Amino acid sequence: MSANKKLLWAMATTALLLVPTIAIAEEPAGSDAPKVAPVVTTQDIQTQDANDPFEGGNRVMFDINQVLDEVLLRPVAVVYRAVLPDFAQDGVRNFMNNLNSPVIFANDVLQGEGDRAGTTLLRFGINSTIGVGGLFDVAKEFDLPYHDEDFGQTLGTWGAGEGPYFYFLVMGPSNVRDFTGFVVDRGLDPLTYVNWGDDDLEYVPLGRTVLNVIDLRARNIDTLDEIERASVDYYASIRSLYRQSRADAIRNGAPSTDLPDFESGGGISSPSPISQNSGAE
Amino acid sequence: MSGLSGLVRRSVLVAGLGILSFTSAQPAASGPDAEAFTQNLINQGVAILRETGDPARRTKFRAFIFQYADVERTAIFTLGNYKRSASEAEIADFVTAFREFATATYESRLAQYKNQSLKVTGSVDNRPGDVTVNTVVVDRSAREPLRIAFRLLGGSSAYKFVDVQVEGIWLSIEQKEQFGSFLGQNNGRLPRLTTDLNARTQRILNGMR
Repeated sequence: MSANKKLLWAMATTALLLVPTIAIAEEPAGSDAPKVAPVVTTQDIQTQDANDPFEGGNRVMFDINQVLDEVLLRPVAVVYRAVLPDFAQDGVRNFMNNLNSPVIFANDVLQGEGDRAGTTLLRFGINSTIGVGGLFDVAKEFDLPYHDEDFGQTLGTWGAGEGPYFYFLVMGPSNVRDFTGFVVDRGLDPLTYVNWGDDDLEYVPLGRTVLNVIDLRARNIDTLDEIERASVDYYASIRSLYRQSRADAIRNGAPSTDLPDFESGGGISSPSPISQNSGAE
Repeated sequence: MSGLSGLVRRSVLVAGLGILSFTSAQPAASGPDAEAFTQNLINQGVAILRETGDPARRTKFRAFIFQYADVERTAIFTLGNYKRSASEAEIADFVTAFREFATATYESRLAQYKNQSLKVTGSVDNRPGDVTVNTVVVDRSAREPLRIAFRLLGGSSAYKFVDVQVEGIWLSIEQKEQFGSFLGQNNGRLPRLTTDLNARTQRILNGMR
């Protein structure tokens, strides 16, 4: 399959997933408890807080992913973690990060982050050579730490809103801004074109994606188990973690100005920071 | 995938810390004073956690959390507007369940404690009596340092730790969205959330035995 066909297939699949679905029923079957009118409807909650107008369809995708994870991905990840020693898993991770350097560099530049673009460029050069093709993160020892960037973050720095939240099959949590960024990043990624005109390399991009997913899942088996066990609504928990995490990534870890408002016990306040202190020693 | 990768990395201590809120009758302070106050509390907590040979470690740490926790304020915040449709008795039951749930979650993670520590790196004065103290987790085995921030609120007589942020994720917001979603699917009935929390707490405790 050519890269163009793959892109069209991905877009067509996404279009189907974007079709609004009917929200799940609020009233559990068989309930005989007295009805209490909620102050805020589910729709209000989702619209105002979660930005999830297609929650019904998203939850269906989430449930399917949970099944796929249980019967396929998690068992594979468990074996991967058991078979590969830690240093080998680190090597895989380093290799994957290095392969993604062109995309990170492009987004550093698009965000006007000259220093970070320089860091990415130097990291790529050092790790691709001294680091044996990226297997070892030698650049970190030269005070050039890894950072991540993608076009979704770039759009965020340009002021684009996140758009409605979506949960995609296999891909997981996203939103309109981040999915757009995902598609553009594939266009920025040289590996997308590696198999053009050479069918022998057709499975290189797919292989990288599969290995990325397995490695990511393997490194977070215990964490996700813990989150699921402690969540009264795992779907909502993942949604919140994703949205907050992406907002933090767009800020590059800078302090947020939209703080939980404990005074009213309600939403988010937007105080004006008075000052920033360097830290007590 | 990069977003998902960031998500799971940031989730590591979200799951571990659960809800941590502290209160203290310390004099009001800002900036450096708040940082020193935070570092002092961290040192106390870490000292207890490092007593790995002490069979009473769990009990001591539980007492430490209870001594400084303002769970009620955090619990009520997580209810958002749903608290208006609940009775005082229902809210009181929920606060109790939330306290046990948060403590059990932390106790569960305590068993996996690996000599980590936190170092204060700075603070932000959000407004008078409202300070965010930033720290990093000192852990030699970690690929990257983890950022954890504590939110302090206080008037002229006391500072209170009311929230914890892990890698940019405020735990109170995550809890609020979970509970709001659950209540939305259960017609706003708070007792159902309380019952679920109690059952979940019991499962966590059973898993530790």
